[in-house]
Amino acid sequence: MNAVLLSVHVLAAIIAIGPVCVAASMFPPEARRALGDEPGAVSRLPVLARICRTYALVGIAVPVFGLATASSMGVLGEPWVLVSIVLTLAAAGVLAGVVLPRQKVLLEGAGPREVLVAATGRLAAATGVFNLLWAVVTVLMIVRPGSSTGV
Amino acid sequence: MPLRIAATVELVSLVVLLANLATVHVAEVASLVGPVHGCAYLAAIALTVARAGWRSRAAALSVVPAVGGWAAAAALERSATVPD
Repeated sequence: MNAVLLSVHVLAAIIAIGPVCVAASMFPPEARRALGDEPGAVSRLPVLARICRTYALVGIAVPVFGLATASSMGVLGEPWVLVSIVLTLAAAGVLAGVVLPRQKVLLEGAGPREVLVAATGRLAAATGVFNLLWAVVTVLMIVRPGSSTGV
Repeated sequence: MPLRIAATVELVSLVVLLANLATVHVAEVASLVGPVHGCAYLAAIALTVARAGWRSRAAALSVVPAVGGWAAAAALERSATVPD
């Protein structure tokens, strides 16, 4: 059962979080091009936002099956798991609370152009924080500091 | 539509979990269907909040266990058809 839960957890992480990282990173420069009235960028922007929203939803499976795996393996109380849970909560908060709402604002494109261009910079920063948090969690999953089964 | 799917999975998976608990109580069923139910529950809340916002009636309904997804979907459809 551990193998099944762990497989779903890792598969979901690769299939769901990967696209969110890529599409969210592509969004701010594409939004700047769209604000510069590049027609291709205007049509690509909703697709990138849709990838982020859809795969963020699929990404719910990653922490849920992660918790199930950790509980089933009896490692839920280990420090590297607890730190990962806190960082994952932070990443989810940045994604759902900052990245996706700011993408929506830019998609609607209401307001003066200078304000929107400045907003792409702040969105890029928030997206960078999200990607960094996920990268740290991934490394924690591999190195597992303090665990007897670390690499 | 995605909310209806999440709501159905939320309810059906809980019924499966409770039926399993009451009858054969196979540990594997519990450890597999449990996380599926958790995902569907959180997905239903996320889909409702994405459409209606945190402070909406639908969002409050969506956190109700088991039938929250269905209640939220019904509330959203009502507010879509009957403008207040």
